[in-house]
Amino acid sequence: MVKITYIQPDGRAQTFEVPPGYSVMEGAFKNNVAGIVAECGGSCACGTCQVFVDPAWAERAARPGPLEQSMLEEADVEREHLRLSCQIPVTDALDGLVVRIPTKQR
Amino acid sequence: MSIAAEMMELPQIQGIEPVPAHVPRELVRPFPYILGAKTKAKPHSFIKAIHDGPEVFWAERCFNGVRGAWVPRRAEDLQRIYHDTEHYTSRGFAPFADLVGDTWYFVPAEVDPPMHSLLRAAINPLFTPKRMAALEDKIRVYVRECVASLRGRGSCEFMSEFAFEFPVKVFLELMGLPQSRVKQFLAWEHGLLHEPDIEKIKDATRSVVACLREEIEDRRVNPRDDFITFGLQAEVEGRKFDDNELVGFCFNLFLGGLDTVSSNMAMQILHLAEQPDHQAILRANPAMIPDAIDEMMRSYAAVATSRECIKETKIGGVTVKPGDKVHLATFLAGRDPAAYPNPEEVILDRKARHVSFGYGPHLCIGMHLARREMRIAMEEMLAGLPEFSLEPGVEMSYYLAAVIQPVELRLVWTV
Repeated sequence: MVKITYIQPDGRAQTFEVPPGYSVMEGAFKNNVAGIVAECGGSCACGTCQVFVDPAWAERAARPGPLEQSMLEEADVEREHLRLSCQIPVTDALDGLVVRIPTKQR
Repeated sequence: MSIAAEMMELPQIQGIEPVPAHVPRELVRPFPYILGAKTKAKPHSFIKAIHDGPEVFWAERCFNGVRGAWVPRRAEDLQRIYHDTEHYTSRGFAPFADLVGDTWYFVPAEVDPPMHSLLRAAINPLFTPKRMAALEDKIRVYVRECVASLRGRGSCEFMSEFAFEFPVKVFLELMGLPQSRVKQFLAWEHGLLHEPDIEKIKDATRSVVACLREEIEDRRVNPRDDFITFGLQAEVEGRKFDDNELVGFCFNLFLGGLDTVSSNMAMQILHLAEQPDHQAILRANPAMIPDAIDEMMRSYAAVATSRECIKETKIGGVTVKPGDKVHLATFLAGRDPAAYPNPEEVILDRKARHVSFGYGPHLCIGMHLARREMRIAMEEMLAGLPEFSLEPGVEMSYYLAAVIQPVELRLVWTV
């Protein structure tokens, strides 16, 4: 199991053990983490599962592909490590990952 | 309400396809949401009886007015099928190109993975929330003008004077088409979606394609900041869109952006006209409008799309064979009692998820624009008009397909 911490805009943090093979979005969704909408169910089609990836972890998460990039503003991805959490597969290398949830998803 | 034939006006046409041999006869069930069908009953009142029936059934004529299809009714099954690109293709979900013998297809709606992701990635930049947010002021101006022109009259026919008018204006602007063509585009839209006569659907298809081709050729020489020019400059796999992709991209935008928004908006305003308590709550608490709109999109979902089976599979224990069409009616899923307790009731702050924009990779690409248009319309209707209600003594009727929609919606208020 992989430990992932989800931090709400008000600073409240929740840590869950998420099985490898899930996405970071699914880890949040199955644990009822507020603020992750994921309206399309994880197909990189709605842009409502955004998270800021803690800079220390940004390098270790799989890089965004072209479809994910097209859903986000490039500057946000580069500067603030904004990602779609459905596009980050949970792997053992991400044990301890910290993501922050934005104030709104759309 | 039962699904009695006398509740509906079904168009009489030739060439209805027989039920395939592998479909169990007991699963062939009545289904009122057939191209060209109208009703004077509430259009969503047939759904409860459908949910008392089997999990999936065969409905004759429900694909294009002629061809039958499997109809799953449970939200869970729709979600699964939207995601299942192994057993189902999106190709051929809209009958228009086929009807006139053309080779183009909707882009990106009728494209399967992996090409779908590439095309969607190319088109997504047009629809980012930021880009849509930039339209907010423009949309609000259109809507305010419209509400202001109606206010002093004390009444309106909401469909023709509001619901169609302003989404078309926004659409024409985005496409770089002149506002003088509003009426023409509305007539074509009607021809594509609400005509029982297949020859009229063909005529409308040919007219739209001819118009779009003309505009595409114009943008080749006169590039502008609009969606058609964007389509001409977009690249996929290091090449430009081909002719089929270009026509399909423009046609997809044309069909996706107009009737659907107008229909949902109309059902929402109709609900508020009939439920003054809900109208009062939203007047007093405009911040509740976004959640209320999603709840009404669940309850009064208007759209159905389809898939075609490409590899034998099952829905709720029933075998679906390659070549079978599957009709994904979001209005059934939205009232699935297994997904929503008390599904007939509109609970403004229910905050439930719905599939009225679809689900999975083909989720409506214009969702952010549509939500914005519906929200601004409701905000401005409530802010600009006193309490409105249905004009007394007027019998309403509704189209049941291809999009559920009031034929007319007559509102009155005190001046």
